[in-house]
Amino acid sequence: MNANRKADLQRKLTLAPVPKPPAGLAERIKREIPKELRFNAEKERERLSKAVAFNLRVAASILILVSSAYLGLQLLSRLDQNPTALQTKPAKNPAVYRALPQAVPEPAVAKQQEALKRDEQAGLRQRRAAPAPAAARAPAAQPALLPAPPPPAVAENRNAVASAAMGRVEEKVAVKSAVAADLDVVTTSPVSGKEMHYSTRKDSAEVLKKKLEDAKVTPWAEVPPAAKLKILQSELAAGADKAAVAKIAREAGLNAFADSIEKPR
Amino acid sequence: MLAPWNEEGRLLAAVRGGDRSAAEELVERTYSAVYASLYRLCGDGDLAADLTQETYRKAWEALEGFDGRSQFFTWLYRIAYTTFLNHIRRPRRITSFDEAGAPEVPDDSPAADQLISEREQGERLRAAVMTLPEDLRFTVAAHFWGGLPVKEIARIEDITGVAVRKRLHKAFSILEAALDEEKR
Repeated sequence: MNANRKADLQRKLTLAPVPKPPAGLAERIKREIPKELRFNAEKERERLSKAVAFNLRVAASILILVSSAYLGLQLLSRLDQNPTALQTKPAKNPAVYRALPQAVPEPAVAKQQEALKRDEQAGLRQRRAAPAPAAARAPAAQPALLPAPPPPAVAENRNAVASAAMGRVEEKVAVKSAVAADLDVVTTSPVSGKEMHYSTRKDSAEVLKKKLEDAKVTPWAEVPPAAKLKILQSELAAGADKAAVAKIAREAGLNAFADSIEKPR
Repeated sequence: MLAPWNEEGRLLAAVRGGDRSAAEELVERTYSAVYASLYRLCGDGDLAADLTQETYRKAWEALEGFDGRSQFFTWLYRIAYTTFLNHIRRPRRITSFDEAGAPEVPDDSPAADQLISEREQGERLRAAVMTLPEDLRFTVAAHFWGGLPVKEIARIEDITGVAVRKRLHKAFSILEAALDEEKR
């Protein structure tokens, strides 16, 4: 249909003759207006309240829909920004403890860790493993489970906590491993050339005297690292040359000890 | 034809409160438009007057249910249209002299010829509108003969304004086809 034809049709429809209403029609209609025009107010009120309730329900539904959509979008956008948020959020999650050792250790702690590692390589792992806390073993046991590194401020706090914890752990490990080793060695000190005895037991003077008479002198090379460490520490305490002690400590594989002598804190 | 919304609301509230003069004022404001709409639908002055009266009779009965979603005249037009539909569906008892077969009065003046031609064209168009499907017929009649804006028709029919315009477009196509067919 073209525009002209459409306009022509519209014109014809609109310009249909409009006659005036016959005289008296208005009076006839008015005469028929019922005498009792008052409507039932209660019914009317009920109808109105129904309409209002319906409108309220619609408004509430829209509000709920909009707010849930908003919340959903917020949640989605947060997940998009930080996908690991849900995994790292719970504070009591064991992942936090596993994350602690991942923080940068202080130099002393690093040295202690190194020494401990060497001790373990020397065959002491089995004896030490049992009393060591789970926190100390966790990083080696489950490296794949470590979460993403925490923010710097949090990492510093964690480092402090980790250092303290590691220090305590190392002390306990050292004491317990020495007791568990049950060492009783007589050897010639390569520093002073003296025969030296080292024992983890606290024997009485008589027992000790008898023991020393019967004891075999163990070559320095065969002395366990823990005993070597104690002997070298006692030599150092007795005023031996630090450089000589450090050199012998390095030869014995006690690098951490040697470092601590050469580069004291 | 249409009272401003606030004024209309005030009158309706007064009618609901039992004010007879308010009802008379509503009649005064709307009856000629209702009559004109019905006249365009039926093409008969007397019948249009009767249907107008019947429309108001029904309106007073149904006024309690008027929810005010549309304007009062729109609601009234819907009643008038339904009244008209009910009338044409009723079996006819009276034969009009204007119908086919009735004797024609000869008039040779050109003005009269032109007038008759225009009336015939108008009558053909009205007849064509009456053959439209119900929804299209109501939309065309309400918009062009009842003077209702598209928005009001959409409100009373519970459809969108776009749907009303689509109905009008479709109705035009059918009317054009029907009128072309008649010419041939």
